[in-house]
Amino acid sequence: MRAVVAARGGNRSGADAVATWQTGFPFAVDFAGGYPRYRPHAGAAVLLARREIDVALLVGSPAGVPQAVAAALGQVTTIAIGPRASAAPFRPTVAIDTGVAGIHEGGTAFRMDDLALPLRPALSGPAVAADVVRALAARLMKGRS
Amino acid sequence: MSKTRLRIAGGVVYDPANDGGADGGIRDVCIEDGRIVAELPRDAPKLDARGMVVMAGGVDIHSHIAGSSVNHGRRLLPEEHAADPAPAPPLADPDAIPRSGTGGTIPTTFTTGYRYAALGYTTAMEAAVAPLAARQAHAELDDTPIIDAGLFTLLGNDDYLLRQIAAGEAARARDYAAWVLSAAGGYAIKIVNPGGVERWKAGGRNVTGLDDAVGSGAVTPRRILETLADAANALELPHPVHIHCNNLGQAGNATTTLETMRALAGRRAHFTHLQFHSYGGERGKSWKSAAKEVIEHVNAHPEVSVDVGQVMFGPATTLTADAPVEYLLHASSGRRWVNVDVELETGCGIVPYSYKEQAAVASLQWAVGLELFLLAKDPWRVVLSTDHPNGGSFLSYPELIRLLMDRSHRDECLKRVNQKLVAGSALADGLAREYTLSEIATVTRAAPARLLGLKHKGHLGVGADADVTVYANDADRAKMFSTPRHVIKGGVLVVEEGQLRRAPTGRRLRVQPGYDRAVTRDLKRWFDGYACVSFENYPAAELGE
Repeated sequence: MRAVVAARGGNRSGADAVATWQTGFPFAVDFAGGYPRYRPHAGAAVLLARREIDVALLVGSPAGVPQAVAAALGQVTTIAIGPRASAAPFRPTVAIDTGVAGIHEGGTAFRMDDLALPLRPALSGPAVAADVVRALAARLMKGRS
Repeated sequence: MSKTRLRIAGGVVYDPANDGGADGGIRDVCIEDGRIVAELPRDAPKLDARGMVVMAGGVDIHSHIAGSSVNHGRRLLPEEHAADPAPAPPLADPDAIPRSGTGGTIPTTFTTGYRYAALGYTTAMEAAVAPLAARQAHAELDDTPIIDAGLFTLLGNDDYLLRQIAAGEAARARDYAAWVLSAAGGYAIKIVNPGGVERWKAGGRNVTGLDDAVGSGAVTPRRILETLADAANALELPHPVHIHCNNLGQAGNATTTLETMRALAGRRAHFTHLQFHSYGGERGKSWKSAAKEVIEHVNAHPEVSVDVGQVMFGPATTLTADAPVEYLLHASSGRRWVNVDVELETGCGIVPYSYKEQAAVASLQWAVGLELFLLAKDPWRVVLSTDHPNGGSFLSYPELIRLLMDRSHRDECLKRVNQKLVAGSALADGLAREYTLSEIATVTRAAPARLLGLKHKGHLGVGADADVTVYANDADRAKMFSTPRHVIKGGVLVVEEGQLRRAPTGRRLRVQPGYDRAVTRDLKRWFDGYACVSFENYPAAELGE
């Protein structure tokens, strides 16, 4: 399996910080070897173009995905989890619409100077993205054993 | 919670908090529901520890493992991470999700938890977190499994605090310290280079002595130290004020260190990484060891405790709120660096580093640390640390233990180091002392737990947390302490036959001292006027009542 972090828009500083504390690298992390490897020159667009990708999992708003990546995502099986995921131009194979962080769901966002701030929901909304991802992970673990 | 029971049977038990430092007696250690109990039924599950050494889980009083400064350090070190992959451990629980990561001098969060546990350590204190950055530090600790952990809250260069000192408002300063500890979810008050970071950030020079003015002449390092030491003691915090003195790493800084200890005479205070503060000679001219003078003062003053901050040869990453020191280190080493101005609160600097046997100053630093250990009279007040990752990784503790326990090994190492500055030191003159296993148990678990005020940790008495490490007895103490046979955390067998098998969530250690709520009215005005975060969004943890 190969996973990529396609960061654009949204909580980029937060994604960078979490990827760094969990893997030692800020983005373009490859887990195919069973541990994190840094492949800054083989990001999502490159791997998709090389057709190395079997399935793409996109978490977050698809609206910010660069056009080149979005076009390539249309060529592979794609699971999109995020606000208005079902409206993504690349037509995900599976789309799960979620709320928007800071509007429908709480959490933590990082300011661009790397300061973590609390998000509080103001409205109730659709499924919470983190809950969806956790539920999927739990099912996968069950399937594994 | 289920009734988990375990009898650790027939091991040689070193429990200096309860056995008075006796030389290891054979007895069973019984565990039920995460605690040590007096006895268990005969049919309770048994762990055969015959011939092995049993101690409480290790307690690290001073380490840097979580928070935005640590994470900046990780960003600086991609080549270290690439060179030290850490595949996910094969955990026994099918529902557990084991996590891969990377190591080096600043491992990733999951790997940090796994590696501490595999070393027999079950508690660690993250020693420097700015309150503004506490939310991230807690998030990183949430991703650091197994170990119980707390944060020390940086206050020695805090603008609001310094203004209270300038105004002579000691009670307000104490209330603020209590509020900010609660808001940051902190465990103890940390002072780093009191006043020096603030003065340097404001465009001036670092302070050089205790009576240098910091902005207002009413604010000096001495006043900051007194105010916060008194606050910690008045608030009855479990750990006294935790002090990184002025002039870290400078030749001749022992004068400042001793002056700081005298300034706080009669007050409980902990002086951290003392090795970095025990140099003689003269700034810019000469270096020598002043370990003997400094440790003699410590020996004679029971209100003082220290951790050593030993330097170990090999790679390290220097990482501190003492931003001016890191500026100098970057300038002298030419290594890549990070420097951060943490707004109203503190600074932060990071420079990767390497201590080499061939280098004169690194060899002196190595010798000074060993002198402090070997000349210390009371192991309950002089405890083990490398100031991870500043003096070396926590993974080097086993080699440090060997240096303390094995004189012939130590003497061999001494022959290899650069002799230029070491000649004439107490170590070069020959220190015969060898630490006993009981003394090692004291400086690595019993004493740090007692100094931290963690009554349920560092010992194996009835009611203590069931954090236990079982070592195969080996004459090579480095080997023995690097690969424990079994580690139990909170009653869960996390390391079994030398393999990490379980990774339960660790607990957070924090304090919630009381304060006069009038301080929060003033703080709201302060936040409105100066802070980049609203008062409501500032606390990283639930505030106490």
